[in-house]
Amino acid sequence: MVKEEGKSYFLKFPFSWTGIPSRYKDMGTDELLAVDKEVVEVLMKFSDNLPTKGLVRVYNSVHLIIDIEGICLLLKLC
Amino acid sequence: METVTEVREYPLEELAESNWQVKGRYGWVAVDIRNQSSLFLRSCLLNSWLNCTPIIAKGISSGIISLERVSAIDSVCHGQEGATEKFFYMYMCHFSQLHVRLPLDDFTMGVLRALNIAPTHLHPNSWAYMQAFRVLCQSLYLQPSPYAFLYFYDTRPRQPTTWLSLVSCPSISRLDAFS
Repeated sequence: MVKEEGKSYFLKFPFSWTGIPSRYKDMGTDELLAVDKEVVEVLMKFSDNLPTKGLVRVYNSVHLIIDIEGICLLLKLC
Repeated sequence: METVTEVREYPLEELAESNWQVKGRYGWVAVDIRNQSSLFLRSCLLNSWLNCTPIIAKGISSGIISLERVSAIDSVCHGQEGATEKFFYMYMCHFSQLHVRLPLDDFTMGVLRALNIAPTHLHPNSWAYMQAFRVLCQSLYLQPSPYAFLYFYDTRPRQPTTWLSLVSCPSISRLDAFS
């Protein structure tokens, strides 16, 4: 239940199931804003799949993430 | 260990009476979703779980939400049903395994809004992609953005209305499946 104090935090997404989720499929990079495109281009430089589970664990264990080298080290330790 | 908020409890019989009528209105949702009910039928169970699982982000007042157990007949696909106070459902794995904290951040809310879905409508494995994507972006000093994230995925299925999954396109996939 969202309380009065929390209303401003929870305004930006549907609270209930909808019968019409939006569909995303084969989006081209030319459809992206420049700022989004930059993120995609950086991530495309990775050649291998990264471990989702390891990254989620890192998220829980580290509050101040320094950089990608730190992440790689932590993933090796996981 | 953080202890969070009160859990309100309503008489089961009272809820059952009104909610059987509600249930009939959700024929458009897949049967397996409609027939799932919460494991937390008693507030003491939910309370003991909340005592060891943080759900509110650090530095945020626990007064922004109150947590309530759902009734035996509530289903995650049910809407507000005329409730005077707004609410949304969450799965316990969001907090315990995926380390989601409330309030949801702009990136997460942006993905839900872009997909036009409630938090429980997105399959938890797809939530894992969101969490991992955020860590990856932060480690690269990038601002995680909903549309950059969705670029890597297709949504499935179109019909029937069931959990929505994000399926990575093999050629551009950068995160492996959460398993």
